[in-house]
Amino acid sequence: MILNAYAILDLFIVSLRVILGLLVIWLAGRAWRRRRQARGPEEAGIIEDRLYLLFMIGTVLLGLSAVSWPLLYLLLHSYVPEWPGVMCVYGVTRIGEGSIGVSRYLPALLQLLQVGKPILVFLGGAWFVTYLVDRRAATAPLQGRLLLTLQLLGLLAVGDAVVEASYLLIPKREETLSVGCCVEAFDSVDRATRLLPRALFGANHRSWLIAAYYAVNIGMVAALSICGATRTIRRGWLGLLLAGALLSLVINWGFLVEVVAPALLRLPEHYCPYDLLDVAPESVLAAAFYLLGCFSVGWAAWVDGLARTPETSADVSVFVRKLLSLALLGFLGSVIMMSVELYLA
Amino acid sequence: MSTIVKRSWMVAAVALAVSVSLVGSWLRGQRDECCQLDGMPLVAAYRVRVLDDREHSHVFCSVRCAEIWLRGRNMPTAKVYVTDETSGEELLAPNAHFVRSLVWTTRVSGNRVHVFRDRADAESHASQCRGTLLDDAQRPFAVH
Repeated sequence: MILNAYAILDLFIVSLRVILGLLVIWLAGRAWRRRRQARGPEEAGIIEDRLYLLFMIGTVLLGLSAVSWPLLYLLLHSYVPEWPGVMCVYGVTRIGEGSIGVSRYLPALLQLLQVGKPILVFLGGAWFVTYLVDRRAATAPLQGRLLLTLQLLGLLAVGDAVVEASYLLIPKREETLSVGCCVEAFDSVDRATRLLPRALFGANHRSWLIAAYYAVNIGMVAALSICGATRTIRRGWLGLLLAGALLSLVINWGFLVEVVAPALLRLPEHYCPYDLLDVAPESVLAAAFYLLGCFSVGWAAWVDGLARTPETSADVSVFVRKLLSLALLGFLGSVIMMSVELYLA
Repeated sequence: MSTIVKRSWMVAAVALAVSVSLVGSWLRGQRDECCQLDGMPLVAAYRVRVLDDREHSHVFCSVRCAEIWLRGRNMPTAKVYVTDETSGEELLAPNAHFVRSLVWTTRVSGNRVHVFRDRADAESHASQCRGTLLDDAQRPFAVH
């Protein structure tokens, strides 16, 4: 284990998440069983009164899970000077590759973490929004769904924390790094992110990608503004917005690798998004704005699809509207920031 | 009231986005000369310069970076200048002797190819560092 301030902080947060996650799984499971066995409204009311602690723990777990996402990248960034052949976070993600010892699992563990954390934060946010809707209702009609989602959140959080603890504790000295530079992975001609735009748009893929980026993101801003101005937001609209957000995930990833990274790094042939953490750390804010926009659209669709009951219908509409405003804020902030950054680069 | 609050948030977000971008760009300033492929600082003894068809120079921190950059580019008339490790002088790649040895030039790029103007220097490095003098089939920049 490499001991530094970030590793210690991360280990502390991982421990808290394991404890709280297990507590959430146990308490939510017990509440779920008792709720099903409740014989009348009085008994159900008593159970409901006991859920406040559980939901508070769930909220803390969500907060810690959200904090652990940027903390993971800060930790990886702090590991860069540990190996003379490592240039950026990408090199750290390759430590252990080709090893025959236990450190061969390190790259796979990191991949799991990088995929798992966004899912965890999204699910946590979806649970929290459902909880806020349920709190406004008189008879807690979403309690069953909340308990199930919370159990799933607890399971994911514990899994994520265990993977992170394993990554932290596995020795990283047995590295067999041939090249620590991200060039081979991100700049090779046949890498996936280059195949996608080229297959679609040919040699002039970069200008098409810029056009696609602005079309999708400004389209999202326009659609969200229209939704904010209309009286009722139909389910079909939400479906379209969700499809737009998913499409933007693909386009924006390509845009980040192909256009933003070379421009901000001032290296026209270098496509590593990890390097942005070092050279242009403010681009993290643009990414955060974008994720806020994307996740808010997803949460709005989630609430509309899973939290709408006759009792909560009016509140759901209010929440969907608020979430879409948040999404507008996110997409607008991200597009503006990217545009200013690219103009000044 | 709600519209005013919403607009205030929007204005605050836009102001934050613009100001952070401006401050970030200003703090970055101008970048020193670095490898055009991976952005690493240049070490004079290992510097490689490619003069493209339009007489534009592209500098790299190692032979390997220059090779990766040239890979897939159709530049038959490009001139490649490498640096003699002994004297630090630039010379055309076809006039150089290349040795692949156990010694890294830059760990990040993983480059182990060393450049010498004199064959004697190349052979000396090869024998000292368990290297191999690269023949015509193996030498870098033979075809690009």
